Amino acid sequence: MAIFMFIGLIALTLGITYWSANRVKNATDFYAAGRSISGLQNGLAIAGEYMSAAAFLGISGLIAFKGIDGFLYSVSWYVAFVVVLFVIAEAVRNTGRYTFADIISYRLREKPVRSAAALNTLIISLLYMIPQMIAAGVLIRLLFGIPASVAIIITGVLMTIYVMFGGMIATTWIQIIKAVLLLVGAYALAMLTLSHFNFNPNTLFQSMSQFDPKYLEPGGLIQNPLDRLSLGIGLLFGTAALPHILMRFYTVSTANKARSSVLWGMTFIGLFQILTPILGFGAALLVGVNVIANADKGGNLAAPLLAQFVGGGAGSIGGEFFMAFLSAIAFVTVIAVVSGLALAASSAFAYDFWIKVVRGGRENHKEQLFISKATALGVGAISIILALLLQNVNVAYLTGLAFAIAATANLPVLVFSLFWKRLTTTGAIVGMIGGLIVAIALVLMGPQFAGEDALFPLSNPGLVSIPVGFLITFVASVLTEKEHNSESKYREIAVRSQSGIGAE
Amino acid sequence: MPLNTRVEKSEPVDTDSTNKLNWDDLYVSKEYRMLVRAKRRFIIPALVFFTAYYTLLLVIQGYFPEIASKPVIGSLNFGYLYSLSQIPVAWVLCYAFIRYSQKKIDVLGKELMEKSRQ
Repeated sequence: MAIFMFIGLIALTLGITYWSANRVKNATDFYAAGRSISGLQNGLAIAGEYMSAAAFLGISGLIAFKGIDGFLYSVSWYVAFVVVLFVIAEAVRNTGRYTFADIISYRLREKPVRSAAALNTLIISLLYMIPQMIAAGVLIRLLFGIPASVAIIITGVLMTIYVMFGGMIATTWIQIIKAVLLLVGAYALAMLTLSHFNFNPNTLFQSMSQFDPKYLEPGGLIQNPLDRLSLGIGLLFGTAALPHILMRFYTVSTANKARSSVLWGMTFIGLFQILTPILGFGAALLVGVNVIANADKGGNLAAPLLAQFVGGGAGSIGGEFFMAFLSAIAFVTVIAVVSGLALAASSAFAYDFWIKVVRGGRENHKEQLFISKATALGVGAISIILALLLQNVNVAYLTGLAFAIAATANLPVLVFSLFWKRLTTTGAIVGMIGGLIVAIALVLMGPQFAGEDALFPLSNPGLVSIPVGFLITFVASVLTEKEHNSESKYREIAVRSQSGIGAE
Repeated sequence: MPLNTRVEKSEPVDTDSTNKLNWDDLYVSKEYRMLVRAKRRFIIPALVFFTAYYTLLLVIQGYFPEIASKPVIGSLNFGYLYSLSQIPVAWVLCYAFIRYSQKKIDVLGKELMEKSRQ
C-alpha cells in the first residue's frame, strides 16, 4: 500500500516538473519563477519550505522523548518571521534580482563580495540539505526495508530532476502542494489523536503529566539557560539570513506581495506548529516511548507510528493506510525542501560566481540557463555523496550549524549594507568569511561535537557568534578606507530598498 | 509567448530610465524622509517589543522553571501557554504592520515614485 502512495505522489511531482520545464525559458524563470507567483502562493511555498522533515518528524519525536521543551523549536522557527518581515523581506524584493548577494554587492566591489556570499550560500545550503536527505533515507528504509543508501540516492536524483528541469517554478508548486497535503495530514492526525482524549487538549496534557510530570516542565531538552537563550536568539535572527528563504521573495513582483506572502506563510506555519505538542504527547502516550525508540533512536518515526496507531493499529487496513499516507507526505516534504535548498546553492554558484565573477557580468541567457542546470546537477551529485558519507554520523547539529552560520556570517553584512553607510568591501569579506569560521569553530569546540572536553560551553553559538559577526564586520570596515563613491552609492541603495524604485 | 517577452524585457536592473535617476535628490527629498520615518515609527517599537516578549520566554523557561511549570488552565501550565501565545502575538504584529503599510507606507512610496518621474 505504502509503495503505491509513494509512487503516486512522486508521479504527481514529476508531472509538475514536466509542466514547469516548458515554462522555464530564461534565468528569471529558473531562479524566480518569472516573478509570476502571487502573495498567497508564495506564502504557501514559504510554509512548504519551512515545514521540513525536522519540523514535522523531528519535533514530534523530540517532544515524545523530551517533553514540552521541543515545542521551543516550533515557536522559535515561527517568530523568526517577525524579523524577516520587518527587516528583510521588502528590502530584498526591492533591491535584488536572484540572490541575496545582489544586495550586498550593490555598493561594494562585486567580485570578492559575490565570491564570499556564494561560498557561504553553498555551505549553508549543503549543511541544511544533508540531514534532510538522511531523514528521507531512514524513512524509506523503515517502510520498505530498502537500504538507506539506496533511499538517499533516490531522494537526491529526484531532487536534481525537479531543480534541473523545473527550476523555481517546479520547486514552488511542489512546495505548495506539499504544504497543503502536510497541513491536511497533520490535522487529521491531531484530530484522531485527540479523539482518544475526549477532544480536549487539557485531558491529553493531564494524562501526560500523570505519565511523567517532567514532560510539561522546561529543561527536558535544554538544561543550561544560557544555551536556551543562545538557541532562541540564533533561531530568531538566523532565518532572516537563510539564502533559500530570501530567494523566495524574488518570485513575487512587488514589495506589497512580498509582505503579504510572509503573512500567508505565517498563517499556515502557525496552524501547523501549534499541533506539534499534540502529536508528540499523543505518540508518547498512545504508541509508547520504547516502541518509538526501537523503530528509530532519533525519534523521527513518532508521527508515522502515531498515524498507524490512531488509524486502527499495526496490521489493520486503516492503520497501514494512514501511516503510508503520512510517510509519503513526509517523503515529499523532504524532497521539496531539499529542492529549494539545491536551487539556492546552484544559483549561488551559477549566477553569483560564474556569471558575475568569472564572466564579469556579461550575461548570455542560453549560457546562464545551461550553467544553472549543470550546477544543479553538480549540487545534486555532491549532496548525494556527502549524505552517503555522513549517514552513520549523528547529523543533528548540521541544521543548527546552518542557522548559526547564516545569522553570524550573512546577517551582519546584509543589515549593514542596507542601513550603514560606512560598510566596506574588506569589512564585508571579513564579516562573511570570519563569521563562517567563528560559527564553525564554536560549534566544533562546543559540547554537541566535543562532548566532555568542550572548550566552549554552549551547543548553540548564536549568543556569542552573532555579536562577534557584527563586531568584526564593523571593525574591519572602520579600519579600511571608504569605498569609492560610497556616499552616493549608499543613497541609491537606501532609496531603492525603501521605495522599490527601479526594482525589477 | 507574450508573457515571456515581458520578462525578457525587464531583465536588466539598470535600465536606462533608472540610471538617469538622481538618487541624491531623492535621498534628501521630503517624500523619502517621510517614508523612512513612517516605517521606523512602526518597525522599531514593534521589533523591540517582540524581541523582549520572546526573550522573556527564554528567560522564564531557563531561569524560572517553577513559574513555567505552574498550572494555569487545568494541566496547561504557564510555560506552555506563554510559548503558545508567541504565535498569535507574532501574527497580529505582522498583520498590523501590513495594514499599516498599505495605509501609510505604500501611499508615501507612491508619492516618492511620482517625484522620481518628474
